[in-house]
Amino acid sequence: MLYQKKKKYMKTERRIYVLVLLFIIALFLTRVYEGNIESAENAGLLIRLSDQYQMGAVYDRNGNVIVRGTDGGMEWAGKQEEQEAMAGLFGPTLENTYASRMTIWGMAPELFGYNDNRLNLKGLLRPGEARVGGSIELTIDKELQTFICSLLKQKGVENAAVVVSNWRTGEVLAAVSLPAALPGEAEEKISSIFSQLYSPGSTIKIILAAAALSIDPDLAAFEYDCTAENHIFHTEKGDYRVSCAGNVYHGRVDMEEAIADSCNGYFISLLQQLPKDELAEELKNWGFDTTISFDQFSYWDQTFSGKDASEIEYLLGAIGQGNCSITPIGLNLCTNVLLNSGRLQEPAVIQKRSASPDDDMRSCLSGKSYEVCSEVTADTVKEMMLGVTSYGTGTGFGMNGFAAKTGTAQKADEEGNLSNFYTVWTTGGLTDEESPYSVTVCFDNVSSDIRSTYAGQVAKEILEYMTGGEN
Amino acid sequence: MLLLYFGFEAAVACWTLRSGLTTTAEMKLFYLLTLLVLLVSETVMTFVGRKKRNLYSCVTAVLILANVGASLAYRMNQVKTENVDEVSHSKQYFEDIILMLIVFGLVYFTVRFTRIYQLKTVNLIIIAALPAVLFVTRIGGEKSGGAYISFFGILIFAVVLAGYPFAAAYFLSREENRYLHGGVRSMPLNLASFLGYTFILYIGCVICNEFGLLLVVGITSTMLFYIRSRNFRTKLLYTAVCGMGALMSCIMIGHIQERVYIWMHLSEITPDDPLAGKAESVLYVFRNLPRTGFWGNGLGSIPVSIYPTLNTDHAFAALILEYSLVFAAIILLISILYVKALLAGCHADDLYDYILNLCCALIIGTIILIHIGSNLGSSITAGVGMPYVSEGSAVNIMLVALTAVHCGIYERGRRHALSEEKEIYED
Repeated sequence: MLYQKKKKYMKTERRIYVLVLLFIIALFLTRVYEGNIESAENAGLLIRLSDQYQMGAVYDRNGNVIVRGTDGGMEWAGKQEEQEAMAGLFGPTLENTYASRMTIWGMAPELFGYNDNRLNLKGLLRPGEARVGGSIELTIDKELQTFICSLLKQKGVENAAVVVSNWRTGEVLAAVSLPAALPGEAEEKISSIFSQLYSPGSTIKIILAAAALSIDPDLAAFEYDCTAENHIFHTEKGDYRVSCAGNVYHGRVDMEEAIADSCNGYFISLLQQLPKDELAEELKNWGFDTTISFDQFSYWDQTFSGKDASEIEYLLGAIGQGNCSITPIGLNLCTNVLLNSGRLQEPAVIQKRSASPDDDMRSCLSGKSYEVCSEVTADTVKEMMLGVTSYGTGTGFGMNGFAAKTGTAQKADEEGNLSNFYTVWTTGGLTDEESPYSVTVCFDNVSSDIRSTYAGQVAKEILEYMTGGEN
Repeated sequence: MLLLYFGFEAAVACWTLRSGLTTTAEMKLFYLLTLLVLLVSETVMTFVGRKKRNLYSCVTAVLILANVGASLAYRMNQVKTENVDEVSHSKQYFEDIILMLIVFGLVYFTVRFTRIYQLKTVNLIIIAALPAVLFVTRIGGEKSGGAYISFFGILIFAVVLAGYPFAAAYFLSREENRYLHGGVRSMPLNLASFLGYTFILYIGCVICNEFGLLLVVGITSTMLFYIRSRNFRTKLLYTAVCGMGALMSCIMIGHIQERVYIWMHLSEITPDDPLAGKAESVLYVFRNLPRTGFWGNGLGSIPVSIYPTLNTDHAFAALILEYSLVFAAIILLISILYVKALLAGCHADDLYDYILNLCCALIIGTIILIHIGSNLGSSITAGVGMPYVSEGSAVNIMLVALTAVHCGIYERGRRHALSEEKEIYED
């Protein structure tokens, strides 16, 4: 009897044990198939995966192969000039950049099998199947990228960064940086488009204007007497003289004329009208002195004046000098805001992805947008930018519907003294909805004979190439 | 069956040795020696266990799990480099296997052929020693990761669990002729004493901060209480008290609070969460399982920085991600069969042996459940290893001793039952 009772107890305990185990496993499986246990990609994991997986393929927006993984490496398609044009965007290997999201490798973990799912029938029945990562389709136009790279070399520019994007959709159509290195060369580095901060020079004025109008729309009528006497600015530590480019005096100017003629005095004076704290908050919307990160990529944070800027450094921010710094992609995105009626479309470098070779490519354009300033403000500044190319500093590269701003920033040497080298910019875009292209051109470390209009001419040639010369 | 075992051992060995790990010739030698000892043991058991099916089942399960443990120990070997000292886990595991076999033999024969372990003096010594070990460890023991876990170099987890079945059997096998408050309907005094004693052990575990031990003792004692108590109200009250105790520890003890939080909010923990580091070891299996698939990533693919305790607390995760999901499922099945064998219809011929056997089975089963639950994120993390797969001399020796106790009791009981049947038949 005792034996029978014991046997019954043991049977019950065994059943309870198996039930508890099944519950544990069921809970585990539920969590797995919930699918929301994933977190942001981990650089160490990506680097390990790149050893385990054969890389997938990278295509441009038109379906042309740029690079494809092979057993033990990768194979670049196209001629040397095409490879040079593209390689800068990809950057060095994952290990060298620690999977930086400023490189294509870091932006596309699926290339290395991050999103691979082998928990399926095929994975069960074919254990020996090679591990191959997924593929991506960039928003980049390979032909445009190659054209820009060749154009820059023709112009004899050694250090340059060019960003072309669609301001309506946020797609980055080209991102070229020089000097370029072929894949695998020692000189390979992260593209300066995302990683290099430059003084924006007068291109900051369009952003400052938009910020000022957001704080006080009546400032559109603010006028300034651009005369010799009026270029001395008072600070706590004394008076400071800031001239306009070429020591030219523009007379009495309003905001539109100041943008067209790039009047330094106007904008320093405008800056002094604005409450510092309010301006700082407004500039955060534009990405200044804050941290900005987008779904697909990241870039170095831009600064207007910085936290502990002196008064003069603050004033110099109005003309894009002092502590003021921005990346080429950052300036291009700010330009897109002005062209797109105050809204920034979520920028994208990758338009489609697939998790594995067997999966279909799926669109990864989020369609998100952010309001940075009001439509009225953006359109007002956009009109002023049209003035730059019609009668202002950009008449040398004007084309129909091309709203732009030029900028020249004098570089400092290692001791912090002003040198004889400059960073020159042109940023702008076509206002036509049918050709919603923006372009930002930056030439760095150029001598004084290379003016910002040179960058403007390059910008014009790029837009003409894209529109087939229709504008 | 021997051929099957040999095939399994050979397959695991080939796969382990050809996995591309960097090891020395000495490490390989100890690994192979371990496999040889296990194969010899299985061969012996095949002949010895022809009529002793339960003994054969238990020992074979242990040997299969030990095979996996030897492979995992080989995987953990560290070759000497500029920054890293040489550590031969294979050598350590080989020594553990030898000790385990010796202990198994000693305990089995002691239980099978003697009743020394049932002596009142022996049991009282054990009962007194267990709390003393805990309190002495707290006062003078080694601290590791915030917990006092070693008593003169031996883990208190192993020491306490080795003695607890005897203490439990002593209390629960006493005659129920005295009751609390003198009433027959009240809790028997022996059961109350058992609860009181277990409570003293709880306090010891708490002051040593040995949460894993507390969990195993708690679950085992609860199961034993439920089986022995006949009063439904008592069981209900006991459940309520345990529930309150668990809730209070979740609220008041910081690291338990964290573990419960991680368990319940696994998918919400972001990389910048303060608990992200602690959650990582649990989340790692989920994040990597789809990529790993059914067939594993191969030995050495999990970085030790994620799982520094890969060969102890996270052995099952290693099986899933490095060996393969299929292999882990097989080991899980072997573990179930092992526990089934331990919980098999017991031929114990007295209540003491019955309780002792049951307690041994419950302890081993609970350890397996906790380990698997922790590794799968289905329960809170508890720092408990997988029997024989995880390294740990003291714990594996304790587990093999408990298995030997079961085998000894089962065999003696079976013999006794057989001889009774024979007598009846002859009559």
